[in-house]
Amino acid sequence: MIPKGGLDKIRDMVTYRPKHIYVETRIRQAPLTDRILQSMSGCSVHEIQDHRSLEDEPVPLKGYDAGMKHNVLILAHHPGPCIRPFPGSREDPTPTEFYVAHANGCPFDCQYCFLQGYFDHGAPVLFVNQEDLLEELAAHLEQNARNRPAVYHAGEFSDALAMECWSGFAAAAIPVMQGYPAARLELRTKCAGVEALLPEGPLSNITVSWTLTPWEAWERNEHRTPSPRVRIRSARACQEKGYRVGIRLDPALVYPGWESGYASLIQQIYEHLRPDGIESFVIGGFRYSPILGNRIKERFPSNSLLLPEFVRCKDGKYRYFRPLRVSLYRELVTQIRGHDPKALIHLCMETDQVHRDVFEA
Amino acid sequence: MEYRRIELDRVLQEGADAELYVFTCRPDLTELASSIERAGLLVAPVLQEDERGACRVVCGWSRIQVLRRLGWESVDAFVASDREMTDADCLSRSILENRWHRGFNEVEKALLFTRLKDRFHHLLPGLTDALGKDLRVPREAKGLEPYRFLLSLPGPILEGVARGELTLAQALLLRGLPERAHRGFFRIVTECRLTSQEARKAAEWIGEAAGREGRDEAELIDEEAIRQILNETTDPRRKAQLLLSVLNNRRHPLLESWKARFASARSQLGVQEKDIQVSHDPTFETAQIKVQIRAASEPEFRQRLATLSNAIREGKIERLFRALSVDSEDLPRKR
Repeated sequence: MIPKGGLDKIRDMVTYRPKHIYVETRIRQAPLTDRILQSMSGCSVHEIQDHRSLEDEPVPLKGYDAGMKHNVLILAHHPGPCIRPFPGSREDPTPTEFYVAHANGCPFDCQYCFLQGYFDHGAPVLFVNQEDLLEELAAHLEQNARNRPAVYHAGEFSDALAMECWSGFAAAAIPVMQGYPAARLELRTKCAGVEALLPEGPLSNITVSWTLTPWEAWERNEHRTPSPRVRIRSARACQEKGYRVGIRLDPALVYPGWESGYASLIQQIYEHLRPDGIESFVIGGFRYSPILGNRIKERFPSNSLLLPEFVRCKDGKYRYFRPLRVSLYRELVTQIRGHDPKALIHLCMETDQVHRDVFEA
Repeated sequence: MEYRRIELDRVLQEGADAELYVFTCRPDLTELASSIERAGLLVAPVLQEDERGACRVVCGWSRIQVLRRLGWESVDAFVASDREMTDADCLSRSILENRWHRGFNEVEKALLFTRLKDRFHHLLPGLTDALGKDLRVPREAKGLEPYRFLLSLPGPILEGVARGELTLAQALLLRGLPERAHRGFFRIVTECRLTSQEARKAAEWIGEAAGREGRDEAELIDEEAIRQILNETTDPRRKAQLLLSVLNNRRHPLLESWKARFASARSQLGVQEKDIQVSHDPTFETAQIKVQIRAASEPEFRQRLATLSNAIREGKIERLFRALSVDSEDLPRKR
């Protein structure tokens, strides 16, 4: 049964039909730009110089708000390398984790989203110089993943599949991964129905992963996203199509009733997904930078995300006070292991101390 | 302009029309009253007279208020007709007199800026000299918002700002609190003489604690623990310390309980703080302890090491580590 208020939300979701498209002059003639503009007739098209300095552009909407997020799509050229080492592994001389920037931002509007603290405007930006990205990915794989493991995350600065129907990015990137069994491409998303967009006969080194939160947290915090139930169904369809599926409980949230919320979510995951087809779980307690904290307070003043006890950690981010985090993680690990004792579980951006507290207690 | 005697009942005294050129908010007129009683009226008010003979105050609003209270029936004033003295002349004169005599307080600035923007926007270019460099009328509507908010506050708080008991920055903190908590917060700031930074912390912490506990900010401010601090402590700085400490505990109950737990384990070590200092990571992110030994000689150092060895044997050091570990029974209760 869909809880009260859920139907309205479902009607409201996945209906991202931008009214305005801002196109950087530089890629106005690019084939992908053409294709996207043709599929979006009726939108007003505005030529801009640079999506990073919208303030100077004569466009109808600007700034970081819901209107901008829901009504504008930006087509741009990605300047510089599209593949970069993960922030955590930048100091590593041979990093193994990379992110792929095919887009910045996404049409969903999650109140906790860390991207709110990253970009000056809320509109999703799709980089249409996709050929450059794919060439770079091929060269990068050859150089970094021929003989050693490397993980490529699409979905770090955007939802990996939210704009797939226009960009076809994942469908184009998946074949490039062939021949590099040690490498893995993770497509992280909150979308539903993506199984139809992904190619048949998937490679074993592709993981489609879903970020999930319990129903009540979804209702409260994740605007214009498909419900967790629909996402899980999409994950099952992907499993059936042969894809490996990842589950990301990141951010994991503390709120009144989180224990039963997560128990029910994990129950649903195992009701629908085959345990042996779940590549891994990643759990990461909600954390925020001071900039993100301010943006949340400013955009969603009545939100309760910042109410639990946080402490400022060495990296400058606020995290739940350690006992709270450990309690959250232990509970989630217990729930998951209750369904599948062999489940592979990682903690995201956590200290050795917390790993010990959770896994060695 | 004429200098002549005017009956006070001809001077408009109520409503927006009466105060058209008045930008005065002086809650305490005692000093002015005693000066007038002692020495008489030293500076004559300036009035604008309309064709019906009603007079509007241009300069001297407070003086006329005092004269009325003192029972005067008339006053010697400079009087000009509204043809002789236009809106621009009256505004200019009123602004200049305020600037020369005592300057504008924040409430007066708010009155001036909002009225100039709302009623006399077209006259602004001509008032540049009168306004000088210290009175900058915000160009954008957004810049006026703080002043509009200030003017929306209840009388006693507004008077507190005019008296300088509350700075503009402190008054603006009230925007983050519900209206019913305004008076309570005003009392806290003035009685504890909080600095701007302390007031900002207090407002933020009250909001956080109330939100976490699902309570109303006004209720929290009115709690016994806070009332006690305000009523029973005399030194304002001591009040401020106690208040912030109470609020911090409320804001981080779990963290504070861990601090207390560690402090209790440390006190059982039986060592002098000045000789052996034991500390923990302030955020408890790690379960490490840091031990610092101070000694002036080798025997002293040996003695302190022996004290620590004893503490280890007696399980007191283990207790310290236990205080930093997340045991199942210490985890927050499920709600």
